[in-house]
Amino acid sequence: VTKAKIRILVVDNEPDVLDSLRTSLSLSGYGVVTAATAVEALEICEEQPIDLAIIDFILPKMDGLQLLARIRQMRPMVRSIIISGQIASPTDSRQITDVLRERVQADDYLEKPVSGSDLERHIEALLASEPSSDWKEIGKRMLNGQNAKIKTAAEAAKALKQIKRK
Amino acid sequence: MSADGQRLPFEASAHLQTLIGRELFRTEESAVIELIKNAYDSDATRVIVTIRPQSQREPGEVEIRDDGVGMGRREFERLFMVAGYSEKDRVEYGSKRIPTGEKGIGRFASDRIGHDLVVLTKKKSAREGARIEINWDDFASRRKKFSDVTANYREEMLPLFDKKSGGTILRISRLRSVWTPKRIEALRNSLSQLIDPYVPPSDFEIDVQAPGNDRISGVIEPVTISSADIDLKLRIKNGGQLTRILGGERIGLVRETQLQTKFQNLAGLRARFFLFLQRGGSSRRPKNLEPGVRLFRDGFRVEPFGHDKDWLGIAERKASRAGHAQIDPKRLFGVVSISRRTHLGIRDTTSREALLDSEDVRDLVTILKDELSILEELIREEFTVPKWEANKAREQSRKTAEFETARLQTLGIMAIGVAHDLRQPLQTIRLQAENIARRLGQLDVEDALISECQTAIDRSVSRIDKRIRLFASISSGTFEDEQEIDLARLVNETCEDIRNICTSRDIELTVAVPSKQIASVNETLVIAVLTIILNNAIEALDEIVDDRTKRIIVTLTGNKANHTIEISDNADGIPEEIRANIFQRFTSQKPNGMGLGLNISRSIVRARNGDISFKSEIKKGTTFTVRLSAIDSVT
Repeated sequence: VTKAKIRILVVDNEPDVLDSLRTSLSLSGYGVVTAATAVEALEICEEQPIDLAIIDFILPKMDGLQLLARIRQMRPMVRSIIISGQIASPTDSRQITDVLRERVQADDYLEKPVSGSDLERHIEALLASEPSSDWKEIGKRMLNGQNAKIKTAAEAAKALKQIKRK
Repeated sequence: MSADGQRLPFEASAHLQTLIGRELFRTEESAVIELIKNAYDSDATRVIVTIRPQSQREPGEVEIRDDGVGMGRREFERLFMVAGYSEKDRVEYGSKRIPTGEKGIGRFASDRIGHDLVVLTKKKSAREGARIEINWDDFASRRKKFSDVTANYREEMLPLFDKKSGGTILRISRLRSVWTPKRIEALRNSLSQLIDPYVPPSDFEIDVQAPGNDRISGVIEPVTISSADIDLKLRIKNGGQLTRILGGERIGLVRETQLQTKFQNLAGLRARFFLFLQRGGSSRRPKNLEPGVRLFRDGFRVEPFGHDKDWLGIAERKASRAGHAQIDPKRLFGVVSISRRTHLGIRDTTSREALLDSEDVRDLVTILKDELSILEELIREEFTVPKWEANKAREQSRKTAEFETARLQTLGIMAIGVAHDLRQPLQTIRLQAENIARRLGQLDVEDALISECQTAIDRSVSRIDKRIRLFASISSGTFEDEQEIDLARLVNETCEDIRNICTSRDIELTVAVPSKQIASVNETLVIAVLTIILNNAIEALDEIVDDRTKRIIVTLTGNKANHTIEISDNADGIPEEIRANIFQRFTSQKPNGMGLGLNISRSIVRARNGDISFKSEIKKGTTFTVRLSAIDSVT
């Protein structure tokens, strides 16, 4: 897959940050779409396929995690990186990453200010890993925004039906 | 018969004895004390008072036994049998003892204690002793003359005394009252206050025995005070020079003053006052000692003005000032020591329970009152402020503390917001600088300078970000978790972060760390503490005006559980006057310093079982030592 074919959605309410991220990712050769709000981001997701979403943790009205859950309902296979300007110790940072992976199936967590090269390294690593083909996992991702939990095969089948309807 | 040319003799009624013996001594305790003083005067080194109270089986007896010189027939007749006769006022400077009494009535004190007296006495050199029996009731008749009363005197071998020893035993029986253990205890307490704790009578001890009751038996120890909030020592030397030494728990440095007074007559006077402050006092008042100023002459207590406890007018002064006086009589303990040998003008009344009014006595009172006034002034100045002022100050400090807390809380909350806000432009700067360089690269502009510039921007962003993290961590205090890290690497990295600053200021930074030192510590805390101390060092080195080579040396030593980081500089050192306060909040040497860094650093390090200390030498430099301990290894 060439980089140009990979579409990355960047969501950040800081215009300068958004611009710099777009430029950086473009320079790396990715296809980039940006959104300053969660609503904009959801609109974009309705319209076009997205491979990876880079979402700022703090957004007005709907925060980054809620947004990720909503995107997942539409596009369960989307990979994600949450970025944040919040201060956390290195340990806290690792814990946050674990929690985000467990709870919202976010793939990565990075603290601002992140360098372009670092960001690219994470993106490449994410894209190189196989996206889950486990339906249960996908259903989990989809239903996360609705506070649903899949524990049995029946629940997974039900989730599957929902996905197919989409 | 012509009546002229005749001389009529005075005669004393036997009743006089009752007046002297029974009414002059206010209490039986004071009579016992008088007899002990007599024993002291007879060169005794030890006096044993044995009290056997009356019981159903025993008649009761008070025995006072000394190991003094004792009396032979001649001495007995001259010294004991003649009322009001004493040789004690013939003070000879070479004599072994300074007599405590001089009135020649001490022996009659035994009348106060009991009806019958048996005296057993033996001179050291004599083979035999004497036994004298006196029944004080014989003096009861007003019609009898004093000289009509006789004592039964018999010389005999006294097995109570060793061949070579002498002494006197007074056995008083048919006691006038019942000696309960409580009264014996009170006597012991009186006796303990009878001896000057600071200039005790030399080579003399008093032992009070209550057979069958060990608790109230034994040698009497003078009551001493070991420490007080204020401890004032006075001494008048020959020529009237006064030395005043002011010390105590609440007086930082001992202050000594010397001044010339007109009181040459009081040379040899020593006094010591202990004051316990009502507020903010740090010493404990002695419990078994009555407050007040006690006067001792040659090691023994004398009552200056009978039983006027307030002979220096402290309580009176307090009353007249309606609570504004600085010295509370209940919190003042004093010992005044004088000597019969040097203060001949200070004599006591017949009962020995008061001093005779004289110029010397008035001078003594004057000088002590003056010194207490000086003490009072000192307390007023240093320890007391009027109540309303104190309340105002307290209210003010409460408000300041509240404001400070609110301010620090606000700062903490703000710091997190500020950190978050600052990281947004930092993100932009970092990415855009990188973007420029990459874009130029894409445009085939391969330029070393551009890439250098981009690297410099990136490094600066890192530095700002580290500072922001530090600021936010300190403000919000997230130093909780510890993890195993390579402390050597961390120290190295933290130092490397400031290497550029050092280089630009001509400071040689030397970092000596082992290749690896695993420690279980909080990373942010280590960075915070190191950064604060390193920045202090850099700022101190900036102040240097001479051309010495500025140096900072950072070393790391230790084992798995304990780690020591030393940060030394060769700046001018921390001024002595602020050393004590260096870890206090809002104490800063720097013109724009907040004085928060070291305070917070140490609080956090201490909370985690470590410590921060320093050594500083003027013109030589300062070394801070940071000791970190793994919590697990300590608890």
